[in-house]
Amino acid sequence: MDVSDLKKNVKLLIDGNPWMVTDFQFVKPGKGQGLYKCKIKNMISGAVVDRTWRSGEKLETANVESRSMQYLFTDGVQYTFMDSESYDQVEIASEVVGDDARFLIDQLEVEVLFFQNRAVGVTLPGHVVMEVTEAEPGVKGDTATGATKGATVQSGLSLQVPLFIKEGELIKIDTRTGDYVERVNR
Amino acid sequence: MKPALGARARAKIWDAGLDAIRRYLRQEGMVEVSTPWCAEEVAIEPYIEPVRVGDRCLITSPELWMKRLLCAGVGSSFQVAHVLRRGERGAVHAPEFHLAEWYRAPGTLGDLQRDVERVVAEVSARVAAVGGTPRPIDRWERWSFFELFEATTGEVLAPDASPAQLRARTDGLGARLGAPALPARGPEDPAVEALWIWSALLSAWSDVALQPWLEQRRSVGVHLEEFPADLAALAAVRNGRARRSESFAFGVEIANGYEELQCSVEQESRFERVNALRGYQGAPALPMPRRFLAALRSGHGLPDCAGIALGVDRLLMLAAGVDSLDEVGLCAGSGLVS
Repeated sequence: MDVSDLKKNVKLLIDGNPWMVTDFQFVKPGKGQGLYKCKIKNMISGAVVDRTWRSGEKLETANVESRSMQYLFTDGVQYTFMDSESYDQVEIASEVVGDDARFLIDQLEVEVLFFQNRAVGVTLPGHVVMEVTEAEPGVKGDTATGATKGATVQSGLSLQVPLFIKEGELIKIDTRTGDYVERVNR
Repeated sequence: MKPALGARARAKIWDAGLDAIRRYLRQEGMVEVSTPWCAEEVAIEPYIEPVRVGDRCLITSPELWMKRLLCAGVGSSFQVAHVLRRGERGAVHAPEFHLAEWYRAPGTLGDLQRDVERVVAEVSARVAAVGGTPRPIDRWERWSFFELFEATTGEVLAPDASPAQLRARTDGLGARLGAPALPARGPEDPAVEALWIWSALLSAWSDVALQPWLEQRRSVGVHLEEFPADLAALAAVRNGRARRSESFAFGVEIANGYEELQCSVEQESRFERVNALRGYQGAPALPMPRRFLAALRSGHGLPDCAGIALGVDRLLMLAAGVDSLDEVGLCAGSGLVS
């Protein structure tokens, strides 16, 4: 594609890797060459770099597709997901899943990124709801705002929760930070 | 944060601004003209893409037609024209905008620079009176391209630098903005290669060094002049320098003027060079503006004159005290042209 077709969210193939344009600015001094100043994100490693193209340059787009899939199980090495439409099962290496594994629970809907028909990344929903499997006992009557205690949820993730949270309750967790958001009624 | 300008406020700003520009130029003895906006010929530029309509183009500037009028004897004149440039979209770029273009016959770059200073002052005052908050320009400075290159980078750039030296400078500046090195194989014709490298150098320098320098001294207006001869475009060249001037107000380029090239032979060979560069970059060649070139050769040809185009939308953006064209445009974001 021509550099003049650049915009946010375009996926590019650079040195064999898929990159997504996350920020885009067009500048053009006088009658000079236009500059397309971008921030691009490596869709596999997540690395973000500045990259500028000049008018007239040609770019290669990356064939990247995103499919809705459901998490099924793991053997510790591979994570198995199922295509929500075709029911095909796909195994994804733990290196690709990375830290996101701590949010994976049975039947969680995620977006799996495929690059050249190979799964290269998992995008979690912004929040997940999990059951508290262990929580330190709360101190009755302690209502000090912001006071927290340790807890563990069904995926094994440990986090800080407010004192009123009890074992067996459901809580919403932010998947970007791993932090407690709110209690969810069953 | 200031509240966004409503439709009525924007209309008043445009009304005041356009009236100020027209009043000033008339008072200076120029007549207002109107030339075709859908034309058979446009100036061949390396990095300006016209919108094609059948075998015609929507104008990217009224320059060729206004010069034909000058050849026909119309004398000092001005126009506020709609112009279209395909693919230009950013905070201070729009694919359709307004150019106030005027020609002084006779005239010099110094005359045009004074005009720009006075137009900026008058428009700012008139827009302030209808509720704009103009940014103050305390004073104006004139810099030659080579002086300002040195002042902003700390490096001396020789006007007769070899292509290899220019390439090294361009790649050095480009690396600072994350641009790859220029392709190893440039255009074959040395004159086309020179145009290509100087253009790339100008862009990289402007972004890496000039813009930050301008932004640190925003209340100083700057006229940048005495460009490298290879970047003359439609300007005369004297003593090895293009008689071209670019004016910046509040860090934003607002006008580009020339002491005009009168020689049709030289103009045609420059257009051919630009088309060769366009070909090298994969852009379509544009038709040679035969009627314009014929006008330069006819009768007395183009009189001794100087002309300049000023971006009206950008000037009103500055006069209104906002940061993007969309915040002052009457029909901003209409998406009619892309």
